[in-house]
Amino acid sequence: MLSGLYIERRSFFHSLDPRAKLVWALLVLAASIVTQFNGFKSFPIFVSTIVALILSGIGAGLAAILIFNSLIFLLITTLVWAGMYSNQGNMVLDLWIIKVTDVGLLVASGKFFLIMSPVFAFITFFVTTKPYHVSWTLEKFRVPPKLSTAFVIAVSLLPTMVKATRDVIDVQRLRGLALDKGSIPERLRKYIPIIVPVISRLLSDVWDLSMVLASRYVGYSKKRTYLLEPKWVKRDTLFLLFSIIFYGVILLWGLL
Amino acid sequence: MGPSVVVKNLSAKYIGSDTWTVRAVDLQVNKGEMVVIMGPSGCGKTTLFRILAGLVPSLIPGTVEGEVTVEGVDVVRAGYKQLVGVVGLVYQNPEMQVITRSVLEELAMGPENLGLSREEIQKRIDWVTHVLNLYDLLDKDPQSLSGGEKQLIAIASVLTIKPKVLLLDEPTSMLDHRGTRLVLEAINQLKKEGLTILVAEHRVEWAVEAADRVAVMGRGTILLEGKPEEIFSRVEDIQRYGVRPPGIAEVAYELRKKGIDVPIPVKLEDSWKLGVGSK
Repeated sequence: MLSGLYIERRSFFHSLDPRAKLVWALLVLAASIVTQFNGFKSFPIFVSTIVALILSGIGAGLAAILIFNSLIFLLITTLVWAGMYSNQGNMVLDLWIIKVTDVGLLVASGKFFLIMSPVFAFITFFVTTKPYHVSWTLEKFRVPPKLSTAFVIAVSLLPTMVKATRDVIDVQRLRGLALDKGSIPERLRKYIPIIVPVISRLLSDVWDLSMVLASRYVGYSKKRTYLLEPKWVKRDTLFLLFSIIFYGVILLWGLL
Repeated sequence: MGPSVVVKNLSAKYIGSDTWTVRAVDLQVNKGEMVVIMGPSGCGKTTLFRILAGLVPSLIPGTVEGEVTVEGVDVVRAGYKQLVGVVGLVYQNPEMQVITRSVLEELAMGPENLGLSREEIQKRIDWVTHVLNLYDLLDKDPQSLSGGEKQLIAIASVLTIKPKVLLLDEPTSMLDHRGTRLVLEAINQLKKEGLTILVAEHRVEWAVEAADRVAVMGRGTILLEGKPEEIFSRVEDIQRYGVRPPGIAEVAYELRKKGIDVPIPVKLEDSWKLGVGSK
């Protein structure tokens, strides 16, 4: 039931200590926040997350899908943010009501990287770290055991939720539900027979899951033992040092 | 060996329900015994097991009346959290019981949550691996296992908490023939380890061989209880209560209906009695 986001692979990122990976993801987030108004400064962060995706062994195909889907988001942010800064800087594009300046482009791209870089970083983290070790890492960062377990389970349920939605859509289509026909309000109404069964199914699954967790005494002890703890090695230290230097420089640059 | 499970005049219903799901149940299970509980769907087996595991009413709201003690613990008053090392419950659906990405993590989960030392956790994993012969499965991803193997891992992960009483709620109902054989062999093995076991199960031929006693439930109460030979020879009664008798008993019963006076064997190995008894 809980397949989670983890993909079993042999990759550089899979071999890293989860603590180093989490610090890296948090550095990506911090650097993205600081450079959000200047896409030129946040571009290296975005590139680094693409490299991380490739080094996580999830396959160029999946990485390409993620990047391609993010381009649609880039288009939307460009239109929104560039529009808000259309009276600052030099005009780059003037097409009817769409006015894009260089300042607008920098801010738009900065905002785009603010969202996508951390998303890619955390996808890399979850795809390369077993849920067991995610829970262990969070507890090392002083997150209470019940909370870390709840968080890991919530993340692990995401693929289950996607599969449940797909199954319900397929079943409803077989029963004659045409999601691609009709006006927009009609199409939105047609999602009710999908949303309701999906929620009902998920509630049932979560109920069953809670019984299983109770039988395994989750949250019984204030301090959970971990039998299979990762070991910190030199490679983790080097990776962490490199990350701190790289993102630290970008952070300082962003603050200037 | 004294009683391990004592149930006296137990009645229970869920919150918001007017119907008593379990009604006036009396049951006693001695230490090391295996009792198989049979009955049609909705007869109250799962609710009975949930009460024995301390889930009702502490986790699942409901009204429970009567006396229920497991290994001397009043399970209704204590609640499931106080039943560590007392009761373990294995559910029907193996898919929902496998929740990690490694068999080792699955087996370690219970003792880890109890905060036991790493040495103790490893000792328990070694014990359950040996008892259930899980050596070939240890380094596998549970998601890739068959239904029977998943159910085996589910049983093993409950056993690492070292319960004295093991409850198995229709553990083979969602399994194919191979998976069923795997799980039933495992239960037989656990019986040899001296565990007190209650199993809700429909596989009559297996129950005849493995069970010390059989209880037939219907409409929330226990209708028949006794040794397998006594219960399964009462063909008409158990058919009326929605339980299929062993095939050989059904054959003998049909012969009797035709006027042929034969005893009613319940085990296949006793089928020779049909030839000896007939006139």
